[in-house]
Amino acid sequence: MSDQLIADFEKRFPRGAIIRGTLRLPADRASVTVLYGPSGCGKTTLLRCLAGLERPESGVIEFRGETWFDARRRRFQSPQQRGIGFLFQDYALFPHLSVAENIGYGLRRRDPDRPRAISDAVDRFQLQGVEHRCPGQISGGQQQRVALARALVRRPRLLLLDEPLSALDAVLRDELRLQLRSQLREFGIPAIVVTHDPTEAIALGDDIAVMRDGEIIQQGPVQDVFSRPADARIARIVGMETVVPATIVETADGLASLDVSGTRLTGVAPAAPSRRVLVCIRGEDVALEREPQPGLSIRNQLPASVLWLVPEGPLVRVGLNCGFELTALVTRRSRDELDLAPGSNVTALIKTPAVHVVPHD
Amino acid sequence: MDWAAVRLTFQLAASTTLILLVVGLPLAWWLATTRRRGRFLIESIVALPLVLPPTVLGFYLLAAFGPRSPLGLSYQNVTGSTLPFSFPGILLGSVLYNLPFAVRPFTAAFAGLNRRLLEASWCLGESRWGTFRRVALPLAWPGILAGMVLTFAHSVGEFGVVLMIGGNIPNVTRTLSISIYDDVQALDYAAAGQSAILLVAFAFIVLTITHVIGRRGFPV
Repeated sequence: MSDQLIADFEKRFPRGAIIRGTLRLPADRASVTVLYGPSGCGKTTLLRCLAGLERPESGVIEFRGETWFDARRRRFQSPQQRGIGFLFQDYALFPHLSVAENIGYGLRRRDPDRPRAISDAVDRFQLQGVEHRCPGQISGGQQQRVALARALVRRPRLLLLDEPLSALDAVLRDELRLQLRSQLREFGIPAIVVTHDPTEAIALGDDIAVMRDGEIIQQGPVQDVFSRPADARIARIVGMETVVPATIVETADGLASLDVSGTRLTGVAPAAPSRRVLVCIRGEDVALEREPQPGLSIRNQLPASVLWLVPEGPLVRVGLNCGFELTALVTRRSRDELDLAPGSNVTALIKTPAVHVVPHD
Repeated sequence: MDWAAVRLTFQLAASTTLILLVVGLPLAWWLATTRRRGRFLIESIVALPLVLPPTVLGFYLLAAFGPRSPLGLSYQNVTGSTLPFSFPGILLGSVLYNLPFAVRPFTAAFAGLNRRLLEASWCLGESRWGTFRRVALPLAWPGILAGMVLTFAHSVGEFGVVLMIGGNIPNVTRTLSISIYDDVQALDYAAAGQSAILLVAFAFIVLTITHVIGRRGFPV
């Protein structure tokens, strides 16, 4: 009970928008909770309320039994008192201070351990050689590491990250995503990451809270929420219907041969070598046929049986069993042509590039 | 050249700048960071001397300094002297009249700061005062310096308010611009020309300095 972060508050804006923060997550161990949702849904505001940068109008925020905010008792702790680390989207590095001074900013000047703590962080975040430069003179990836080092060197009790990778270009983002997860793991503190990128959510998160229109509408382990969204609304927001654990059997020519609970799949190999992965497939990338199509170049042709059908406007969401549970999105017309019903046997076709392989150690 | 006037002018300008630095910085910080609605009212009051004729301000100050007003009376009780036609009198007038020339650049400098940097500092455990000292001041420094230079230069050229409050007493209230006026009245064009060319040179140097300061800044 007391080892949790419990938030249940409302932040109202003058124009009528209301952000409801209802969160409950373990605060005593390394765990990454992703706050996921479309842009403008209030994720950042919720994060800022947790940090003490915004003050909600009503409700409570408790951290390990400490009251951070209580509207009724008029209690409000400032960001300084909360002992958190906050990683801003644009990193907010102090432009007039060197990399080393940025990292040491939050440490007491008189602290005899300060120089050692700074040089340790410089080594750990691979910033050797740039510690005397100004933030304007280093690369985007280095800036991100400086910001992370600056927050973590103070050993915060909770780390809040606002779109930590969005300021980077796509190639760097893929690379740093993996690094970031292991860095968060290493420090052994709970973290909340805001993102609108499904791949980022899957790669970084243990748990996920899906937000829409200022409210958290589903919270749970990443795989569960992505594979079993509570309703169609959430399914549309997450946009990645199938997320299943898999192991890489072998990689050749940049392609990975995957074992998904006994079923073989081919996907694009991830940049970093990693055995345990998550396989992610969008519903619209799965085509259905009655028979296997030997003439086609599509590598993944899986015999499957239909489990369930949910009509969704002009489309139908189809749940399949092909050794693991796979969701396909087809038109009403295809459903009629294929005569789909629970129990019917079909072949699911998935192009190799549509099988996203996300390392998840 | 009226060296007493030169000395007095720079003494007045330096004191005005120093006082406005002490008073103006907190006021500008408040204006730049507050979300209160009353802000606009204060902003207008600060900007008033920009559009008000100096004689109007001088007239009201003269009335306020008079022995029958509470301000004039209490000043007289404390110091034993009166404000009109004295150096403290013209200094007070000059401070009020130069308020916008200091506070507006200071406010612009603070408002131009990336708010995230202040928030980042708070999240790193630094107090509000510490954040002001370690982040806001160093980053807003070029703007603050520009405001100080502008204030100094403007109070060097101050005429209307000083004449209204201080008159023309050598060594006490006779500044350079008043001595020019006085010299022209006395048909001493040579003396007026000397003082005038000094002020032109000074103004040119000051403006060049402000532009150089304005160019500097930190790459973000």
